[in-house]
Amino acid sequence: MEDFSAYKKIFICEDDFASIMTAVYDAWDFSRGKKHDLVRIELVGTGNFELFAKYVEVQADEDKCAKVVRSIRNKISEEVFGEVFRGTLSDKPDKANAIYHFLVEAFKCGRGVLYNFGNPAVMRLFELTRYVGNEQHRLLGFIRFEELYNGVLFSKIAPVNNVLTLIAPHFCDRLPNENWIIYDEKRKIAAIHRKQSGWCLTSDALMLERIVSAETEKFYKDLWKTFFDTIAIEERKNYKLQRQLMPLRYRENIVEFK
Amino acid sequence: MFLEEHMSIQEKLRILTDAAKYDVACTSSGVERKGNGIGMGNAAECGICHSFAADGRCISLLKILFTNECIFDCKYCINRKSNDVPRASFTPDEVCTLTMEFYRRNYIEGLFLSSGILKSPGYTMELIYQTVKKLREEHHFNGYIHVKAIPGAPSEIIEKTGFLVDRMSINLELPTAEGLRTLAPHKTRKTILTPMKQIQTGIETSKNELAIYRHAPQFVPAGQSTQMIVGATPENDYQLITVAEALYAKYSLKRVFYSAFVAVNKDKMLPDNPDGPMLLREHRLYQADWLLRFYGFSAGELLNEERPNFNVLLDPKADWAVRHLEHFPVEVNRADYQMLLRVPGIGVRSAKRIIQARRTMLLGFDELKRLGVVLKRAVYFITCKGKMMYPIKIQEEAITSHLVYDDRRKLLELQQGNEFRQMSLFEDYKINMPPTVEEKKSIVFGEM
Repeated sequence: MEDFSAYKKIFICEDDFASIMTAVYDAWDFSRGKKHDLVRIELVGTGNFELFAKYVEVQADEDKCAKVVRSIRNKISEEVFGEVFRGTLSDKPDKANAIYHFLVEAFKCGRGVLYNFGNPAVMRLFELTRYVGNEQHRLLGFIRFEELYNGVLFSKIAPVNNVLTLIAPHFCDRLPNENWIIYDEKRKIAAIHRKQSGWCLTSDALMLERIVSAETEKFYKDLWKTFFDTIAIEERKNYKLQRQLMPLRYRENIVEFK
Repeated sequence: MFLEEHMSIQEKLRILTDAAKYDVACTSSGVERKGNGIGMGNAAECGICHSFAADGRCISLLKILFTNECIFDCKYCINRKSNDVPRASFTPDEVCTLTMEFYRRNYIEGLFLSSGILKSPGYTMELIYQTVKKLREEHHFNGYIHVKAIPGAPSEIIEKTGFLVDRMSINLELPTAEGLRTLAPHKTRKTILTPMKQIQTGIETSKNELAIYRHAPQFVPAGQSTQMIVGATPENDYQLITVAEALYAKYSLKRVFYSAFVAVNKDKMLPDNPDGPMLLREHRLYQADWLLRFYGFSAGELLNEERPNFNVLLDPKADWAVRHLEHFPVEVNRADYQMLLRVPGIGVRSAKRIIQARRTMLLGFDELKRLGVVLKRAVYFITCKGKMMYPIKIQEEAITSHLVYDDRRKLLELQQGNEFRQMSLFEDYKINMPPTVEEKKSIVFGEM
């Protein structure tokens, strides 16, 4: 038998919260008593294969995931857990690895880790979550609902990061007496809210072609477009600034730009 | 004055939006309020922008006038009595329906309601009050509301309106009483400052009561703001920011807004602005305003009687820094928060991050960059671990020319909006050397 112990070990996991947490558990388990830089976590389908490394595929495991979550919450802090969770929603391929090395640092120095900007792993996670947070905040404003024939409010989004779970609570609080759906086209998931109750996430594919708007919808859309076109001051036209603040990729789903 | 009886709501919205667009105070920030579970809406402390208009300004609130009929005749205003423009008025129900329907589609963050003066200031304020009351009590709207207090309205109506809205504002319009007298003959300093004082006192009282009774009603919880027109009267920048500073100190305002004067009316009392609104001047004033509110600067430090206007080429902070090189360079790993804030390229957020990060390590230039410091500007003023990034002479001229080069490009974009243009060595940098006699000769004789 060849001795692999000096080789790098690379854990391959799926792009979801449970898998990433399981991978963190397995990687931690492996690297006990060794150096942490011999370990890396990669998402399936990203990066190239490496010589002199052993690859392990990780299967999502509820127990392991729960253990990691519990340790972070109990031993470090709720705030750090929040950052890690938001990190898993990033679209960057190195996020799993960044989270792992961030946690290595976090278990070492406790809740103050978030301000330890000098550490590259902490800094990387900070960059990821900053991007996620910025997009989350933008979408709170950029979401547009349309009323369907049965009174349900429907919205379609295609964010870069997987921010649906972060924005749903805001609308739950804001529109408690409405039935609404926010549908993430890119990931084929939807947040569904029922009048006077909570919201849930579903991955059932929606049949978009069967969506029918309410009759009054065009009336309010036109009113809104009128407002939007009139509010701009001719003498101050500045399309470049507008594009900077409202990037083109969002406009596909925004009614006043259609 | 012709008022159409049966105007469509579409037409009304167009007229009353058009009439309201010159008001700049359209933020939805300053108050955090959870949904109440009964009605619709909540409010976020940081404010939320919902869209951006073609002029790049944020659209956050449904900004409309209740009516654009007006008995006042302010020279700069499109809605003045003497203008022949189409007039319209909403009914309270129409405003409520528009707000509710736009809000539930997430088009807007709330309502911004201003108005022309119909009949009398008191009558108009009462109409605004009735509308807001309807929106809050009948439609159970829990989102953000910003209303204008009408100068000269009775204090009781302002008082009861204040308990329904998040922000109130009274426009100061012009920085000096003199300017107001010439351009807005129906408004006086007194009718503007009295309600401003009343709202300030109201906010303080309400805060005190809130400390005792947790459920005491809140009076204008997001604070009050005001607005000044820039470039309609000959006041200089120093006067403007001194007034702003006084307003922050004496009237505890949340914000002072500046709006570059747009010549909508032809009037011999007004400048005609052939180059369009003074956007750069407005920009510099906002930069200075931030310095006053968050960076610990005072108006007297930025400008004075001898230098009454901002530098066109440099932003106010960099301008201050190059004139006070005795304070620089600053050692990032040791300087206190107040000093860090004064370094160009370091903002409030990056200064806080620096303070946090340096508890655990010594910072170098790479770390600073990752923390969000704009090194391009900061390098001339800081050292990391005792060293500057490049060997730079700490001299006013040298640093200014470096900074100006960067600024210049941004500036040109600001002035020219979207037009792309080849940079010209001669025009942009004012290098104007007429050809010498010898050169002319050589061209004529073909001796190139």
